Amino acid sequence: MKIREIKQRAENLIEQGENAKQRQVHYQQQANSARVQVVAAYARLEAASKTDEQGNPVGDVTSARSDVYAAQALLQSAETNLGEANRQLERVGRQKMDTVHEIERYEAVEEGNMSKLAELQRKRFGSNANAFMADLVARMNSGEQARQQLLHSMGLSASNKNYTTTSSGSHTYTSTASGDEKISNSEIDTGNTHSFSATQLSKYHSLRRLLHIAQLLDLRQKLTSVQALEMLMCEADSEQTYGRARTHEEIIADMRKSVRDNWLNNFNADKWKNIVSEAQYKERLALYRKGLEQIVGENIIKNLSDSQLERLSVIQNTAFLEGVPLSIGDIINYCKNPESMFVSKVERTAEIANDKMLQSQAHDLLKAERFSEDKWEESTISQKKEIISSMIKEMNVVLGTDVISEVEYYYDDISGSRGAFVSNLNKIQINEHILSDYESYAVLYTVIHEMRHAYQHYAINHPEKVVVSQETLCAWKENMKAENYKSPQKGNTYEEYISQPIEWDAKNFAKQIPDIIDIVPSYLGSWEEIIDV
Amino acid sequence: MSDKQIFEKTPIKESVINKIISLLKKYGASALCLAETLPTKIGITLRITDVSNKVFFVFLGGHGYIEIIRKDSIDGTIIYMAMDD
Repeated sequence: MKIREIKQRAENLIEQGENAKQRQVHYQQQANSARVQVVAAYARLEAASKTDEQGNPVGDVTSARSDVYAAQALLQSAETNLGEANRQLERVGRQKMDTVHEIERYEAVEEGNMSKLAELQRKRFGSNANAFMADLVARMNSGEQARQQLLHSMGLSASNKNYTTTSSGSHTYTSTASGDEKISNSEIDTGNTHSFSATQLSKYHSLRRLLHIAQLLDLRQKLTSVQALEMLMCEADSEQTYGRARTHEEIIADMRKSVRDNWLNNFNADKWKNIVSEAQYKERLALYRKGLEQIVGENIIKNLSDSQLERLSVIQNTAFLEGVPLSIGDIINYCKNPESMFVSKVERTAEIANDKMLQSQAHDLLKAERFSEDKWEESTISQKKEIISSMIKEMNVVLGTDVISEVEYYYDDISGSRGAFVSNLNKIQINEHILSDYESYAVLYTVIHEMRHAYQHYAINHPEKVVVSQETLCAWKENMKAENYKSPQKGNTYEEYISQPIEWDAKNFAKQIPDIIDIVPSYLGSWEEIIDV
Repeated sequence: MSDKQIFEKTPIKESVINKIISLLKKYGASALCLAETLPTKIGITLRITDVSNKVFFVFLGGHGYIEIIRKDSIDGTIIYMAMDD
């Protein structure tokens, strides 16, 4: 009864395997077709996005983008179905192998029973055992047939065992292997080799060794795993994927594309910074760098600083979410020309209007009771420090910056130093002497001044998040270079100090500009006219 | 007339007056005798004279606080400069 059930199960599994294989082939073809459609849709979008002399797109960008989305959805659906088909095929393969093992265990047990029946056959009334023996042989051959069919359906082959009975009552099975001389199983087990030829003896010893090793290493199970893996690799690289076997380069290109599309595109440094711990973020950034090295080569990526890498990730993720992922060529261009990653498209008129608004919002804070001069004058030094930290937090909201609200205090009662912004620490420094000075309330204007410097640095690194023109970004960036920044400590005049772009901008933003006749700003920015406030 | 009294007709806060007097004394001014508000496009500019006829020019920014102080002339040597780096 049991062997009949096993045989029925084997037949079912063979049929399931054929169905799963057909589905796999179908969805693989569907995925290939969808990939072609995606590539074509991108090409149409790129063509439609080209602009004429007036700067208008030459084609229907909206429609082309919709085509891209549709093609991507189709590809995703096909790949999802293909994945499920692959998993099902693998599942059926495992079940087939389990059934093969079950049959082999059954055969091992029944061979033992066969030996006992053979004993009975040799004794008195042994003829009664003949029918049992015949039935046993038939069942074992049936099981063996099922085993062979299962293995064949998986593309595997094994020695074919055929059970027979002899007139003397002994039983044997023969294992068929092309071109090989046969040695029976019982002869291996009993060591009855006295009649062996030299060749048979050599073969006998080899088989004994293999059997021993297999038993020691559970080789059958390992062989099953290897065979299953080989089957999967063959199917993954089958001729039905491209109508021909894929080349090694094509497989690597597909792997790279998969890495780029599904992993690199999803990393946005700005977003990840707010989600994971610092250690995890650094690890992810390092992985992003490694991934880029795989895509475009280590030589191109190695010179990118972390801030440039972060900027690239924002550009790449933004483009991906907009449905137009960066190509390898785009990435290479950005890497070779990092300045191109920090380009603003803001118009000067918009920038000026925005700066006036930010200035108004910043100075409106001083009208609030919590930042008023009356409140300030009645506060202790400690309370004044809290007011300063609160001011920084609220200025972060106004400007969109992320300056650390904890201030570094230093003491200087000699020079007129009031404060500074330390860009590499993203912190503000304040001269603590001022907090007990006559003009101590002026320090809140210093906070506005320094926060504007923080905004300048932020704008250069995140041009897409601010309303600052490319012209202004370039002026600020150039001025920030150590060799270009002018300071009285370096021997420059006050006029030279206040005329440089970032100080002219910060002084005006904080309304600190005095009426100096020799000021000739090298870049006016949003402060083109000196007006009475 | 006291040092503070000369500022009575100027639009300057008391805290700033105290700071100006403190700085001018630090940089060699004698008793102050005259404080004049000069016409400006932006902020406040004062010309201050002491009893020995030394002249100082105090430039306040648009926010009303001292930015620089020059001596002798309106474009003379800067003796005090408030620094926000």
